Formats: sequence, structure tokens, C-alpha cells
Amino acid sequence: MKSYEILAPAGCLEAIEPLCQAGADAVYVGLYGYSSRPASADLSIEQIHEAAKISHEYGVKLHVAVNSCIGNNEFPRLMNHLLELDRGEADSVIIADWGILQKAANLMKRTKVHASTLLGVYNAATVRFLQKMGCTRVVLSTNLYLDEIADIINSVPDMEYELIAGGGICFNDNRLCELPHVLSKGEFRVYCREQYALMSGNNCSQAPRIHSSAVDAASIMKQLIELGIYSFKIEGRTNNYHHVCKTVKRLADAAEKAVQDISIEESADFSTIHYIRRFVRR
Amino acid sequence: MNGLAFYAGPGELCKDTIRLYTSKQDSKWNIESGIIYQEGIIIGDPLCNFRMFEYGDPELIEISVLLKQAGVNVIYQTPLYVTERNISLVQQQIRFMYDRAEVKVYLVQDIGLLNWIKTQFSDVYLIWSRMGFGRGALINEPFVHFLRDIGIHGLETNRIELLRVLPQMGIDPWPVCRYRTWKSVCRECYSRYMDGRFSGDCDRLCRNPNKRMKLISIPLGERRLDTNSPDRPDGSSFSMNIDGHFLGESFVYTDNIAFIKAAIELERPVLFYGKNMEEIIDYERKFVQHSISDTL
Repeated sequence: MKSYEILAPAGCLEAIEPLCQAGADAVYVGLYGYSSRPASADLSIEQIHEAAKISHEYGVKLHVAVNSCIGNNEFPRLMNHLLELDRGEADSVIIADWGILQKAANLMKRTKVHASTLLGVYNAATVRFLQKMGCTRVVLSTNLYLDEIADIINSVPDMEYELIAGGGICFNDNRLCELPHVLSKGEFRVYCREQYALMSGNNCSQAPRIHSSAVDAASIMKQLIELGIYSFKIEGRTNNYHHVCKTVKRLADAAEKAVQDISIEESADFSTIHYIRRFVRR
Repeated sequence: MNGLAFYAGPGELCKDTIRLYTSKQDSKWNIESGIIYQEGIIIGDPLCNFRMFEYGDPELIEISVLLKQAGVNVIYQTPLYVTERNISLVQQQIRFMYDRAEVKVYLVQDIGLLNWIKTQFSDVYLIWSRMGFGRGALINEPFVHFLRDIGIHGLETNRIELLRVLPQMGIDPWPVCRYRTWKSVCRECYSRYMDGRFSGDCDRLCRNPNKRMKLISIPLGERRLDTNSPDRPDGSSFSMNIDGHFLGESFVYTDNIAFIKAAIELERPVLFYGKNMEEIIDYERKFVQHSISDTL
């Protein structure tokens, strides 16, 4: 069994096969009507079943994101969908609501339950709690620093950990951000990515940016694998999948090289990577 | 009718409360009977205690003891980000609050910390805080059941339907009549970041916020075409204040008469998040007037 997973986003059925061929170990899709991305980037239950068939032919897993806000009137239908997914071929569901997660963990017999970054998992105590609930993987919050990630993994080593390794991450708290996302002349604009003037009294200057550059963890793959990260997620279900395939290949090559390096060298001195800052906010 | 209120705000609010409770004289904050009066105070900032107190955590500890000595009921608000870097400190603060300041009511927004509190203290009352709601702040039935199952007793809310429904589900509603809103929140302090400070003392930049961010990259005319444009109705540009860990922070008073009436009928404490005592008292007076009459 591989010691890592390159997890690629798919916003349409057509993307599944190319992503598998590009080297993805797993693909994730959104459940139509229940994901935090536009519906155009989601798949219906029938499409998910089809996607699972295709991916499994390549030995690639399929994860399904259920991470939008779920109203009471949507809950019964969602439970039916989760049951269908469990009867089908989906390998896991990624859930962002504590109540839904509790229900899903009790309901689903075959399909695994993953804890979304939107749950806000910041410490080992919460990871242990999720483990008791039946969760098998935690998508680590983008607010965590590497030393905090290291401490969590050290404290709860028998859990799978997933980290965003490609694509966009939020500078701001993605759970609590209310900055507008608007459609302007057909273009999707996110206000954290716009430019601002910094006004202070009579002084005016360009404000530092409040968004993060796209992440590419290829250069620190070895350190992340040594840290204990298993799944390397590429963000961007709304992105063109041809572009995503390139990222898959780059990360997969980096991961494979990292694993070879690790097997040759002695075990890393854990303390040297223990306090690496994850990113510098400049 | 009498109502009870807990206030939350800058550290000065705590000090004013102590003065109020320890002073034997009538002060301008003594409120005649029949009006909601201050029951207690919420201490602890969910993001940074320097925002609340000049000296941060040490001063919070000192104030908590003074509040206890003054006989003020205290709710301690635990942090939003409880990571492996600070969890031990947070746990020790809670131990101190419980043992020395005799605080029995806690606002929580982290599941792991909540679980720890439950295993350590059997007689505490736990309220799930609004900052723990996450994206959309949508409270659905499964989430409420989950909170109840893990030992939450109360839930902050500014929604009238929840005032009615929550008691039926075994959770006490805590009506929030004045609450904080924001455009964005960051684990890093925006005040420090905008000031280019990455180390050293922050000089409490948030306690004297003087910077704003104004959108410049999307032409105003173009934004007006967006139905979702966040620009102001007067056409002035989208801008945000920079205040500690918040961008675009503001405090909103609920002006929903039905909510106010329902909150009073519950005969439960209401929560006010505010900037200072005068502001909160002023709203309280209007609050009660609204509840008595049907006009704003």
C-alpha cells in the first residue's frame, strides 16, 4: 500500500479518467446540491456511481464532499443520498457539519467518513473525539502551523491526515469569512483577491494582500510525508481539469521521489522540522 | 418585568462592572426596577486577550478574581483557536477560573476543549458560542442534537425561531440582542499584519484602530452592475475597518421586536456585546421600551 495519496478535484464526470491517468490516487467530487462550490461543479448520485466505477478501474479511490450548509428541510434527503452512496461504490464522504457527521458515522457501514477542514479541527483532543465518532481521516485546517500539525499527528498517529498541497488556500478563516464572492461580467471574483488601499488618517498606500498565493507543496513533500501527512489534496473543483492534471503529475512525481529519498536515508530528525512555519504572511 | 443581561466588551466594561457592584452609591448605571439589569459579565476574548485587557492574560486573571470578590456573575469565553501551541495554557486558565474565580459558566467554540472541560468539571454550564458556528452560521437540528449529546447546555442565538425550538430540544437558548458581525476573521492579527509587525509587542494596535481598507481594483461603475455588490447604497466604495483579528467588524443591535419580546418572555439572560457601558445601557433602555410598546 502506498504511503501517500494524491487527491485530485473533479468538477465533472469527464475529468475522472484524465485525472486517474495523470497519476491521482484518489479523486473527490461534490454531491449535487450539498457542496460548497457552485452546482455546476457537482455531480449527481448517478454520476457519482459512474465516477466510482471509472476510478476504481484505475485503482483510484473516490471521495464525495458534502460540505455546504444543510438546512433542516434538506436533511432527510441528504440521509437518503448518504445511504445510496454507502450502497454504491464511493470510498468516503467528506463532511463539514458536526451533526451530519455524527449521523453519517452511525449510518454508513462501508463508506468511510472524513472530517472536513470546515469543522475547525485545531487540536489532538478534537481529533481523538472524531476518532471515537468513527471518522477515519481529518482534513487539517489551513490555519494550522506545521509544528501544530506535527504535535497533532504525534499525539494521534493512528488517524489519516489530509493537507491541501496544491491550489488555493485561504489567508482568512475560511469557516468564518463573509467577504463577498460575486459574479462580475461572467467572471467569478472573490473579494479577498482584490486590491485595497490602506487608509490611515490622511495617508493612503497599497494594502498588503489578504489572500494566500496558490500552494504547491511539491518542494516540501518529503518533510510533509515524514510529518505523517497521508493525503495531499489539490483544490479546485471549478478549475479546468487539464490544468489540474499537471498539478497531479507534479505532486505525484515529488511524492514518489520523496518516498524513495526517505527509504534511503535514516529517519528524519523530527525536531528539525517541528517548528517550520507553514507559510510566511508577507 | 425584569430581565437579566450579561455584557461582553472591552476590559473597561469589566472594570466599570466592578465599580458598579462595589459602589454603594447610586450611579448613572443603576437602573430602576422593571428594566433589564446587568446580571453579569462575559470575560475573555475569543481571539486575543490583549484586545480586552492592556496586559492580556495576566490582567484577565486579576479581573476575574476582582469580579468574584465583587459578587459579579461571570461567564468565561474560551478561545476560538485552541491549538497544540496554546491548549495547555487555555486549560490552566480554565482550571484557575473554576477553582479560584469560581466561574461555572463557559462559552466554548472548540469541540476538543469542550470535551476536556466535561471530563474535568462535572458541574459547569456550557454555552456554544456564535464564533463556533462556522460558515453560514446555520443551526440545524442534527447539530443541536449533537451539541446536546456532547454536553452543551446552551446556545447563543439571534434567531427567533430558535428561541422557541431549542428548549424543546433540550438546549437553553441564550438570546443575543447585540452581536458582533464581520467581513472576515483571521488567525493572524490584521492590525499587526497591516502594520508590518511580525514579531515583538503589538502595542495593542487593536485598542486604537485607525486604519481602513478600501476596495480599488473593481471600478465602482462595474460593481454597481452586480446584484450582489457589497457597495453602500450611497455609492461609496466597499471598505472595511481593520480591528485586531477582524476586518469590517461592527456591532449590530437586533431591532426585531418579536425577537426582543420572545427573549423577555423566556425569562432568560440576554447577551449584549458592546463597546462600552453607556452604549449598552442606552440600548437596554430602548430595548425595554420596545418590549413594552410596539413601536421602535
